[in-house]
Amino acid sequence: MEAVLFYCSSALAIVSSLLVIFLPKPTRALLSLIITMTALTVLYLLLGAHFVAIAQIIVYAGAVLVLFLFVIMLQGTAASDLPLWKRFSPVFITSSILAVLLFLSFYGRVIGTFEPGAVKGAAGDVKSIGLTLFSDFLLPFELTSILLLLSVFAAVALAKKEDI
Amino acid sequence: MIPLTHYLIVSGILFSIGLLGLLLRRNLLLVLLSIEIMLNAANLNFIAGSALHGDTGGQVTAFFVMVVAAAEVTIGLAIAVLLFRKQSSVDTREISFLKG
Amino acid sequence: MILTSAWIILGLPLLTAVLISLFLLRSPKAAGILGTAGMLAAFALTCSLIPQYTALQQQGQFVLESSLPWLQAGTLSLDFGVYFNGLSLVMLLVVTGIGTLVFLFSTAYMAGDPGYSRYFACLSFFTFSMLGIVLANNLIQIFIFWELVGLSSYLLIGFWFEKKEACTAAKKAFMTTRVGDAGMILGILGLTGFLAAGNTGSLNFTAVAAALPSLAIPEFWMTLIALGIFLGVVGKSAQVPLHVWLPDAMEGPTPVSALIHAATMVAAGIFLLARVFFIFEASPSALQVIAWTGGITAFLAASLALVQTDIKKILAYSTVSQLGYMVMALGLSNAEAGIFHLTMHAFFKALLFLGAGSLIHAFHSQNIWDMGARVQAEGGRFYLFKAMPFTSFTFLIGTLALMGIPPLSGFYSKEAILAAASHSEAPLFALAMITVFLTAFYNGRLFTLVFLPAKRSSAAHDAHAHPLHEGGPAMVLPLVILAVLSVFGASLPVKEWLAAAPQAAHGAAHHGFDSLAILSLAAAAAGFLLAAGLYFKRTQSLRQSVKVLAAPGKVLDRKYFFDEVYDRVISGGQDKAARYADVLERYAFVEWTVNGLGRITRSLGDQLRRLQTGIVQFYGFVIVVGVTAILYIFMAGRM
Repeated sequence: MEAVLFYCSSALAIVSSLLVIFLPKPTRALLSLIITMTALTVLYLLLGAHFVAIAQIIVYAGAVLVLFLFVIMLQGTAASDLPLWKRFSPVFITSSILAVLLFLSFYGRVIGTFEPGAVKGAAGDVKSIGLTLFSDFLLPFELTSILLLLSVFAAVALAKKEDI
Repeated sequence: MIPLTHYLIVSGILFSIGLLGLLLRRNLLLVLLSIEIMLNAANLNFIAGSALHGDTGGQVTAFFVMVVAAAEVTIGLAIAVLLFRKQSSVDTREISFLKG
Repeated sequence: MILTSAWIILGLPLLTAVLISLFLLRSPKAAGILGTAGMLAAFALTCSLIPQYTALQQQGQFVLESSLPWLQAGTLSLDFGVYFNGLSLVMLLVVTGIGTLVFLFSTAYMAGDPGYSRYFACLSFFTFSMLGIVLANNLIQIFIFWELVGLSSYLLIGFWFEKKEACTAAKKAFMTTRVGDAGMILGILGLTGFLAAGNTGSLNFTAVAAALPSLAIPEFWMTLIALGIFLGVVGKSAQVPLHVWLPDAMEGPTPVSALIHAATMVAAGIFLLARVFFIFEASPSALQVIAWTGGITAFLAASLALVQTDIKKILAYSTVSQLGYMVMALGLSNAEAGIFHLTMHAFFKALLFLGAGSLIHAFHSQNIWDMGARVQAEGGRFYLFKAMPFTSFTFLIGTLALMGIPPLSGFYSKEAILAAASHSEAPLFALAMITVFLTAFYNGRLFTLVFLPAKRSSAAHDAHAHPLHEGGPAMVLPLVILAVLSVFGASLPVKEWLAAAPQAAHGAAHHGFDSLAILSLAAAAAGFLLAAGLYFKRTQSLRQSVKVLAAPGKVLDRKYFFDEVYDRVISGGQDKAARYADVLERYAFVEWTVNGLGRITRSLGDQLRRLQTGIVQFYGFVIVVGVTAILYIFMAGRM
C-alpha cells in the first residue's frame, strides 16, 4: 500500500514539475506547481511529518502560490512564454540540459554510495514539533518572525506608488 | 518499506527539474516558480533526513524553509511588479542592465 | 726648509688661479701681473733650493719626503705628500722657469683678448696641476694631478671656444688622453692588488719601490701593469698610436702650445717613466715595447712634419718626434739621457714656439708659404732678419739646437740618446738616425721658406697690412733668455742633480767627438742642406713639382689615415652599438615588454568582459557549472 502511494505520488510530482517548466502559459504552470506540492504533501505524510505536510498545504500551496497567481494575473491573461526551442539559443539550451544532467549524475553517485542503515522514523505530530521548535530552535523562530516582518515592510516600500 | 534512498532520488530529480526551469524560462515569474520547485525538493530532503535519524529537527528546518520561501516570494513578487510597471513585460532577456 | 718651500711652490699657482677667478676677472691687467708675479716667485723659490739640495747630496741624502695621511681603506693608507729628489728639482726648474717666460710672453701676446683674465687663471691652474704631478709622492696622487693636467689642457686648448675647431680639438685631446689614463689606472690598480696581497700598506713611491722585489709578481702580470701605466704615458706624451691629439691641439693660443705642448704637459709622461722606473725595470718585455714605441713615434712624426704648411703643426709634430726620442731613451734604461733631453728640448722647443708666436703676431697668419711670400714682397730675401732681428736670430738658434748641432745644448742631449740606441738593436738605431736626417730636413724646409724665401713672380705688395715688427719687450725678452739657455744649457749640472746615489766619478760623458757624433752631424747637415737647396728657389710645394712624390705625399697629408681609422672603427663602432642598443630598447623593452603587458592586460579584460552578459540565466548556468565542479572536487573521494 505504502509503495503504491509512494510511486504514484512521486510520479505525479515529477510529471507535474516537468509540466511547470514546459507549459507556455503561466497560469497553467502555476496550477501544475500546486499539483506538485500536493503530491509532495503525500510524500511527507508517508514519511511521518504530519505537521509539515499540513503546513505545506495551508501555507505554501494555499497562500504563497495564490499570491503568485495574483501577480501573474497582473500580466494579463494573454501573457505566455515562447515555446522551449525559441526561448534561448540552442547552444545554451543544450549545454544547460547537459550541465544539469551532470549535476544529477554526481548527486546520484553520492546517493549510490550512501548506506543509511535502519530508518528510525520520526514523530511528526504537533506536540513533538512544538517541543523542538520552542526549545532547540527558539532563536531561529524569533528571527524568522522578524524576517517576515521585514519582508512585509520591504514589499510595501518597494511596490507602493510614488504619488501618495 | 520504501528504502530511504528512493526519497532522496526523487528529491534530486525534482531539484534538477527546478534547475532546468530556472535556466530555460524567459518569464521572470516562472523562474521564481522554478525556484519554488527547488525549495520543495530541498524540503523533501530534510524530511527524509529527519525520518532517517528520528530527529524532529529536520522537520522544523523544513518548516523554516517554508517560512523563508514565503518571505522571499513576497519580495521577489514586489520586484516583479515594479519591473512590470517600468517595462510592461517581465521578459528576463530585457533586463540586461548590468551588461558589460 | 726644502720641503716647506716645495709645498709653497705647489700652492702659489693655485692661489693665483683662485684669486684671479674670484676677484680679477674684470681687471685683465692685474690678472696678468698677478699670474706672472706668482710664477716668478715660484721660480725664485725653486732656484733657492738648488744650493740647499746640492749640499744635502754631498751629505749623502738624496730624497726628502713629507706626507699627510689622507684616506684609510682597510690595510691601505693613502697619503697626500711631497716627494723631493733630484728629478723633482730638475722638473721644478723647467716648469717654473719656462712657465714664467711663457706668462711674460702671454701678457703681450694675449693683449686685447676678451678672455685675458680667464687665460691667466687657466694657465695658473695648469701650472698647479703640473707641479702636483712633479711633487706627488704616491701613485694615486700622481694620477689625480694627471687628470687635473688633462682638464687644464682641455680648458686651454679650447680657450677660444667660439671657434668650433677649438672645441673639437679640446675634446679630442681630452678623450685620447683619457684612453691612456684608463690604461694607467688599470695598471695602478693591478699593482695595488699585488701590494695588498703582500701586505704593503701604502702606495708611496718609496714603499712600493722597497716592496716590489720581495713581492715576486709573475712576469706576465708585471708586464701588463707596466704596459698599463705606459699607456698613460702614450696618451699624455702623444706617442703612437695616441698621438692624434697633439697636432689638433694647436688650436689653442701659441703660448699655451709653448708651455703645454712643448715643455711641460707632454713631458709629464717622460717624467712618470723616470719617476716609477722601478716598475718598468721589473719587466724587460715592457721596456722593449717602450723603446720601440719611442723609436717608431720619432720616425713617424718626423715624416709627418715634412708636409705641413702650418708653422705650429710643424713644431707640434717635431715635439712628438723628440718625445719619441725621450721615450726611447727610457725604454733603453737610460733615464738620465731621457731627462737631460727633456730639459734641453724644453728650452729650444719653447723658444721655437714663442718665436712662432711672435711671427704669427706679426704676420697674422700661420702658413709658412704666405709668410715667405710676404717677406719677399716687402723687401726681398733677407728682409725678415732686418725687420724682426730678435725673432729671426733666436729662431735660428732654436732650429740649430733642435737639429743637434754642436756646441748647442741639443747636440749633447741627442748624442746621449743616440749612444744608448747604438748599443741596442740595429733597426732601432737605424730609425733613430733616419729621424735625425728627417728632423734636419723639415727644419731646413721651415727655415728656408719663412726666413729665406724665394722670389715670387706674381708677389703682390699688400700695403694695407701692418709692417712687420717685433712684438715688444715682453715678447722679445723670453726669446732671448731661452736662446741663451739653448746655447749654454748643456753646461747645467743636470746629471749631477739627477744622481740618486753618490757617484764616485761621473760616467764618461759623451762630450767628445767620436764616430757616432760625426755620423749624426753628417746626417743633420745633409738633411738641412738638402732642404735648403730644394726650397731655396721653390715657389710651390715639392709634391706639385715632382710627380713621383704625389702619392706618398698624400699619405703623409692624411697623417697615415690614423684619424680616419679611429673615426671609422671607434666612432663608427660605437655608433653602431648605440643603434643596436636603441633598437633593442625600443622594441624588446618598450614595445614588447612594457607596451605588450599593457596590451595583454587590456585584451584579457576585453575578453573577460564578454562574460558579463547581463542575462540572469547565463549567470545561473555558470553557477550550476561551478557548483557541479565543486561537488565533483569535494566528492571525488566518495564516488
